[in-house]
Order: sequence, then structure tokens, then C-alpha cells
Amino acid sequence: MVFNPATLFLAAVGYLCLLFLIAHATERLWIPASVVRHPAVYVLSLGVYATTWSYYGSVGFASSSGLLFATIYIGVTIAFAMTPLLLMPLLRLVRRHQLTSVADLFAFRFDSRLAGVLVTLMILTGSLPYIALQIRAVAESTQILSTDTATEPVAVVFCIIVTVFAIVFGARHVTPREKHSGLVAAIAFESLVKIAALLLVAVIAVSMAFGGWQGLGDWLAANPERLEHFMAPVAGQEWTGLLFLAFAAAFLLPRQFHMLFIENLGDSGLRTASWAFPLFLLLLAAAVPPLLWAGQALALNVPTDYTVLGISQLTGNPAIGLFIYLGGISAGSAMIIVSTLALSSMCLNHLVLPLMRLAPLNDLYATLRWVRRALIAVIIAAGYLFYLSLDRTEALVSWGLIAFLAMAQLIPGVLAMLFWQGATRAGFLAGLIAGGAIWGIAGLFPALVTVGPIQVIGLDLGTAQTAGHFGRLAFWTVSVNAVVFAAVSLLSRQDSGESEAANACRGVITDVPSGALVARSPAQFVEQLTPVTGAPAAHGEIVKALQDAGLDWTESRPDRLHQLRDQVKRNLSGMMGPVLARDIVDQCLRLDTDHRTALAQNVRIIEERLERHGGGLRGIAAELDALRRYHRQILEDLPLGVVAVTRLGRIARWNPAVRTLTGLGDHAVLGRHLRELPAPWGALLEQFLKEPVDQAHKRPVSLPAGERWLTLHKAMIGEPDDDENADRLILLEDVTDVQRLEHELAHSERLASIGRLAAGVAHEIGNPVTAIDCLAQEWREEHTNDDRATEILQQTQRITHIVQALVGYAHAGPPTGNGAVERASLASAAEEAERLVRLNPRAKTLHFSRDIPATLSVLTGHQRLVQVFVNFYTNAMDACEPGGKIALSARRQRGNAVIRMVDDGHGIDQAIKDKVIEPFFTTKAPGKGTGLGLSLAWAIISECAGELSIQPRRGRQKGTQVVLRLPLATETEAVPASG
Amino acid sequence: MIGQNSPGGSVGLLLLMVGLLLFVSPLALWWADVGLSWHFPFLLWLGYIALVALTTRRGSRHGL
Repeated sequence: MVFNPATLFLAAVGYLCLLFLIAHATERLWIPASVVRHPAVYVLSLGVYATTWSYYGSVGFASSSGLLFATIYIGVTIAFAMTPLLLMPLLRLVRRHQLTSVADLFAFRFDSRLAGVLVTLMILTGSLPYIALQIRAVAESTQILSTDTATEPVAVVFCIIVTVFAIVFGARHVTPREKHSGLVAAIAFESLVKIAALLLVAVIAVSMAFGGWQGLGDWLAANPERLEHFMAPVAGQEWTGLLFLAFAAAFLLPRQFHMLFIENLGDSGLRTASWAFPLFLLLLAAAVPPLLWAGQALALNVPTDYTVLGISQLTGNPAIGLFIYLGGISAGSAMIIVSTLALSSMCLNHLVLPLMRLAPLNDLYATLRWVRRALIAVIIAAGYLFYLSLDRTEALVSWGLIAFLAMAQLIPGVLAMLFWQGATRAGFLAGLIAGGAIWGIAGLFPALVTVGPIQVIGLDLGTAQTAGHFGRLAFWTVSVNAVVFAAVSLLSRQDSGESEAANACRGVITDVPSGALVARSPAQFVEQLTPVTGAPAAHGEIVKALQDAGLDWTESRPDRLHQLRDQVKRNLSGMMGPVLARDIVDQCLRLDTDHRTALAQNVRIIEERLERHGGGLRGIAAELDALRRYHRQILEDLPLGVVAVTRLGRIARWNPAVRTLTGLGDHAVLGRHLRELPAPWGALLEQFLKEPVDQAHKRPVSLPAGERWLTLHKAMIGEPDDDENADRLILLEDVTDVQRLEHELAHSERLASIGRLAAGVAHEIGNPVTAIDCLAQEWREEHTNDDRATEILQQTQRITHIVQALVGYAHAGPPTGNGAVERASLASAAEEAERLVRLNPRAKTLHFSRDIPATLSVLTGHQRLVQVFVNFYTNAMDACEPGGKIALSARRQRGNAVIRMVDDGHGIDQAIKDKVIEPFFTTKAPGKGTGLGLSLAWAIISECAGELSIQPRRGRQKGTQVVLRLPLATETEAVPASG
Repeated sequence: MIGQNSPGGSVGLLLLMVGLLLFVSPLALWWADVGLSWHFPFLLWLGYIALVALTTRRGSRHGL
């Protein structure tokens, strides 16, 4: 079966267009987010690891080296099994510091631009043969399926198409830290195609060669030497070396690093990948032995590297042939696209940008985007040049192992990054140069230049590019690298930047902001960044940093501005690499290092860090942290408001008690200047700090909920003699309740005095009233027909009762003084009360009505009952306008008399309805009322176990309703008054 | 960050040891030499992946 080259070309272009469509649909959100963000998509996207080397070359590798081909997958499995120890810490480090490539990682850890440059050069040089491998595999597979096609034009066309795809979907964003969801989906789809094609061709191969799996077993039984040859490499020296190379490649190859860490959406995805990705590789690898033996049994007329194509040709089915071919296109294109994306970012950050002058640009973003696109094209073009230069008689695997060996040189650095805090920049660079030099001489150079065998310590530096050669080379290069690294690290010292970065890599951030930022607001950040990044990029970066840090444009708190500065640095690191980002931020967003930063200002930052990492503290550090929590809890639980203020007047602590008192949350307050607090707090605290006293007693504060009284205390934090530089502590004690109690006590004392005075006055009034009473009696006896004497006697009797009630109230004793209980008719008392109040001229303008059954009697003195009614009538008359109505009614209810007086006056305020029975409480103008009427009435009512309710009238009716409930007297309860 | 002293780090170290035992130690020489079926190494590999999956699920339940 031979294909027309145009058919293969159209199929490949059509397939890549399908990838365009998938990527586009994902970015346009046509595919549900639940699908795109599913861990399975992330796991499949890691399948970019399996390139044409795996797809085509593994069978050739297995043919020459048996089970050794599986080391390339088993090494990855072991690396992923170490996810909690190795990959997860790297993921968190990359995420926290917005690192976008392996070179960023090393430049950050060793605080060295040179480290970034060397790693970039190493990875770039190592990756080019690998890219060349993909180009070669695609070109050769096309040639095999269409016999007489020249490989070079195919390679050129393939490079162009892949370049376009990588530029369109890989360099859309200005920074690699932004997720390429479309690219991830497309790569995941490619992985599906790869594995489906390989498994399909394996099943077909076994069926064609052996008639089924049983036939394969029989064939192996008949040819035991095949199985022996297959298993033999496990005992060879190269087995361990290749496992180690694959272990390193699993996460250090640029494409693996990018998909694993940069496109990662969360820890859970990596956890799933720790077992699911090795499972994917297992399926891929399990297809290789059947393909190998089927190819041998069928005696295919194609190189063993392309056994899968030979089998597909043998089927005679063009659809299967095309599908298998597209599987190879998938493998090659995915590798090139993701690798160039990662390499372009690395080259931009570590090779191109340091050489560019940081001058103001109209559009930094566009410049970076176009430089990245150009780099993608250049890298693929360089890969094509390597394809032309490398010795094509070597197996596909050899070119891939050159790249694996390059990545292995970074393993000592990665281990030091995670587990050796004392490793130095000099040590890393020396080790990398030593290992890299051996790799270049013994690994890369022989692949470029064909020379005769050159034997050095068992290594053939000539033409022998076998798996065994790379296995031995892995041992020597990495050993030399590690020994030099360790030795130089032990002999050299870290500088402060390295030390700080080493701590950051272990999740221990020890630095706290020191010095004041020159910029005092986000707007000033923009102004200061503009000379380097240009105004649009400066504005864009600050907007992004504000959003990431959860701040806004009004922010002025120093600690928050430091936080914003760190966020800007992290974001720029994601765009330009950590070293350049640090240089830009240090240059533009300058710190006044002469400015002393109070510890209190950084308390929040330190506490947040301790909260974040507290679980990881051990030993004495954990005990100190427990002690810190205990002391903080004391402050938090203190019933006094605690406010710590830095020497510059900024708030450093604001405990729950002061939060409750002020209603201001600590997030809104911490870091702010006292004068920024809303009234009355800012002025109160600032004024108190200025005063030369340590305490201020019962200071009134007007709040919306009413007036409160506070006692304030203040103290220095730190050295008592250093007033200028000391922070201040303010304690706020809410003494409002104490103040109110004192007021009430004074009020009660005043009432008691008035009561005593009233009793004295009543006693003095009693004597003249008695005299008037006597004279009136004499007058009545002398003038029997004169009703006026009777009237005078009634009024003097009433005065006597009032005086007795007043005296009784003042002494809190029985008002009558003799314990007598009278039976009084409600109707009679009400009638008399009405008659009395009608003497008032105002009563002439009002309408009175009365409805009280004559049978209702209660146990209290008649005059006292009249007094009650008079007082209620008096209040109702005062409330009513001329023409108003006052209705009095009563009815029997469950042994009680329920008396209701309703008026249509101005009504009673709900707020004071419970206060009207207090003595001396009045709403009348001064001189118009004493405030004693209702309190006396209430004293009488409560004396006879009655109840009183004063309410506004219900509904829209205006006026007041007084409801009085008094126990009814039964017929037998009539007790005559004793005089 | 999970370090070698954390429970997650210990699990990672343990899995590394098991991986080395299965694929790099004399045990690997034994299973390659005794004439077992060709798919035995793949079953061994599958078992190792299952162990990783099991410990990962247990670890994620404990927040590691």
C-alpha cells in the first residue's frame, strides 16, 4: 500500500486543522469547563512525553535492546511516585514565585542570571536534537508510506505548519504563566490519538502475525531466545543509567516542565497524574513487545523503528494506514509545539531580554509577544538545521537520549534546591559546567561529527551512540557534576540573596519588608514603572497586581504597598524571569532603606506567614509558635480594647474587643494611620496619644447608637527611654454601664431627698388642712342648708388623702397608715372624678363619656380611687385638643374590673411609655406638671394588686388608651373604714 | 512546603524505595532471569502504579 504524497499532506494538514479547531473551541468556551478542567485532560496532556521516539522508535529500541526500551517509561513512573517528595514541592515553588521554566527555577534558587543563561543554553542545545528527531520521524514516515518522496521538503512543510500552530496557540498570551487551555486540550487529544493508534496497530499486528494472543505465546515458546534477548538487558549496566535519565526527563524536559507545572490547575491534578500518567505510559509500552515480535514474525521490509507503519501497510487498509500515520504526526507535532513554547519563554527571559536595553516601550506586551513568536520560529528552524546535520544512520532513540542526558545534568541542582540549603551558586555553576562539558564532548559532539572511536575511561567519544553508551555517560556526567557541585559548595559561601532564595525554596521566607517605599500609592507605582515598561504595561501590571493581591487604587498602607510590590515582582517574574523582574522592581519601585521599619508594621505579614507555615515548624520553633499563639490569644480574649500604634501613627493591632466597640473590622483598619479612622475614633485616639497623661477617665464618645463613655490608658512598647522611636499601646475600657449606674444612683438619691422633703411638706400642709376641715364642719353645722361647706369638707378630705398618699409613697409604706380597706364603687368614684375635673375651664371644650356599671366595686379607698381617675383624666385633658373626646368605660372580666380610658389626644410615644410612671417624669413644659400624678396613681393601683397599661391607640386612631385592671370586691369583702 | 520530614515526604521516599527494589535491585535481576512470561514486568509495573494510586488517595484524604 503506497500513498500519494498529496494525500498524506492533506491528511496531516487536515489533522492539524482539527487540532486548531479543538484549541479554538476550548478557548471560546464551546467545550464545557468541567471537561477542559477535568484531571484526565491534564493527565493526557502530559502524554506529550511520548513523542515519535515512543511511537515509532520504541519498537526499534526494543529490537536492539529488549526490555531496555521500558526504562524510558519506568523511570518516569518512579519520578511520579515521588510526587509528594519531589514534584509537589516543585509545583508549589513554581506557583508561589510565578516561575515559568526550568531556567527560571535555577536562576531564582541561586539568585544568578548566569545560572539562568547556562541552564537555558544547556536545555536549548539538548532539545534541538530531540526536535530534529521529530522532524526526521515525520519526514521518514512520510517517505515510507509514499516510497519515492524526498524527506527534506516534507520536513520543511511540517516545520512551517507546526510553527504556525505553536505561534497561534502557544504565544497568544504575553506571559507563559497564563494558562493555555486550548493548547492543553489539543495536546490531550493528540495523546488520545497516539495511544489509540498504537494499541490498534498492536492488536492488528498480533492478529496478523500470530492469529491472536495465544499464537503469540506459542511463538515465544517456540522461539525462547527471543524472550531471553528481550529480558537480558535488565541485568546490563545501562539499565540503571537509562532509568535515571528517564527519571530526570520526567519533569525537567522543557515540555514536561511546562505541562506539569505551568499548565497545572491545582494540586489534585498532580496527585491524579502521579498514578494516571504512569498508567498511560504502561499502556503505551505494553503495545511495544507484541509489535516487535509481530514485525519479526512477519519479516517486514521496513526499518524496525517504523514497524508500526510496516504493519499498517500490510493490512492494505488505507484508513488504518492514515490513522497510524496521523498518530506519528500527533506525537511529533505535540512535542515540537510544547517544547518550543517552553524554550522560547526560557530564551526570552534569559538570553534575549538581558541583552535588550530596558527603554520605555510603547507596548511592552506586544514587543514580548512578537519576540516570543520569532523565537518559536527560530528554535524550530534550528531544530531543522540539526535534522540536516545529525547522523541519520543512528536510531531515533539516540537523538532523544542526547536530550535526556542534558536534562540529567540538572538533577544535582534540583535535589540541592529541595534538600540542601547550603548549596551555593558557585557550586551549581561549576558542577553544571563540568557535567555539561562531558555531555557536550561525549554525547552531543559525536552525533554531529562522525569520527573514529576515541576511548576515554570506557567511554567511546567517537561514533558509538548506543543505549549502553548513554547509560555509562549518565553515570559519569552526573557523578562528576554532583561531586564538583558538592565540593565547590562546601568551599564557597552564599551571599544574602542566595541565602534568602534558598530559604524561599524550602518555603521558609525570612525576610520582612525593611525601609519605606518611595511610592505612596498604586498610582505612584505606575509612574515609577513607566520609564522602564512604558505606560500601558505599567498600568496593566499594577491593575493585575492589585487584583491578585485583593487591593484597590486607594491603598496607602505601607505593609499593603509592600505586598503590592512583591506581587508586581512575582507577576513580572512570570513574564520576564525572576532575575530581570527583581532588577526592574528594585530599580523602579525603590525602598528608602535609611527609613527604620517598625516591627509592629510587619506584624501582620509575619503572622500570616507563621499561620501559613506553622504546621511545618518543628522543635523549638514549634514551641515558640505555640507560645506566640498563646500570647496573641490573651490579647484577643482581653475584654479591653487593645490598639497598638507604630511610632508613625499606623495601627498594628486591633483586637476583637475594640472591633466590637468601634464596629470597624481589623482588615479595614490595620496598617492605616490613626487619622484615617472614621469619626470619632481617629480624633479620639490621636488626641489621646498627644496628651501628656497616661489615662483619660470617662471620656464621652458620641456614636450612632447613643453616647458611650470610655476610659483610655496608654503605654510605650519597647524601650521606655526611647520615646521617639517607641510604638504605643492604647487600652480602651468601655465604662458606659458604670457611668449609667452612677447616674441612676444619683437620681435615686435625689428622689429619696425629694421624698423626704415631700413628707415634711405634707406634714406641714396637714395641720392647716385639719384646721380648715374643722372650720368647714362648724360652718356646716351652723348653716345646714349650705352645700358649700360640704364641698369644702370633701375637698379637704381629698387633700388629706393626697397628703397621706404622698407620705406613704415617700416612706414606701401603706398609704392609709391604718391598714383599713374600703370597698369603693367604680361608677361613683369615676363620677366624682369627672365632676372635679370639669371644674377646670379646659374641660368645657371637651366631650366626656362614661360607661361603668354601678355594680362594680373594688377594694380600695373611695378617695384614692377618685385620685386615680382624676390623674388619668388630667393627663387625657392635657393631651386633647379643644373638641377632643375622653371616654371611660369598665366591664367585668374573670373576677377583675377592666377599666379603659380612651382619648383622642396626641398619643404617647412608644419610647417613653414605660417611663411615665416614674416619679418626676413629665413631658410637660416646666411649671406645668410635677411628674407625680401617674406615679401616685400607679402606687395606688399596685397597692391593691392592680395592673396598668398605657398604650397608643391601635391602628390609625390617634390618642392614648389607658387600661386598668383591678380585682373586684365580692359581697363579703366589704370592710368598713375605721375612721 | 512538604519536606523529607513530613508524612508526604516519607510516603514519597517509601515509594522510591519500593520502585528501586522492584526495578533496580537484585530482585529485578531475578524476575528477568527466571523465565517468567513476557508480560510479568508489565504486571509488576502495574502493581507498583496501583500502590502509588492507593497511597496517593490515602494521602489526599489526609491533606498530604
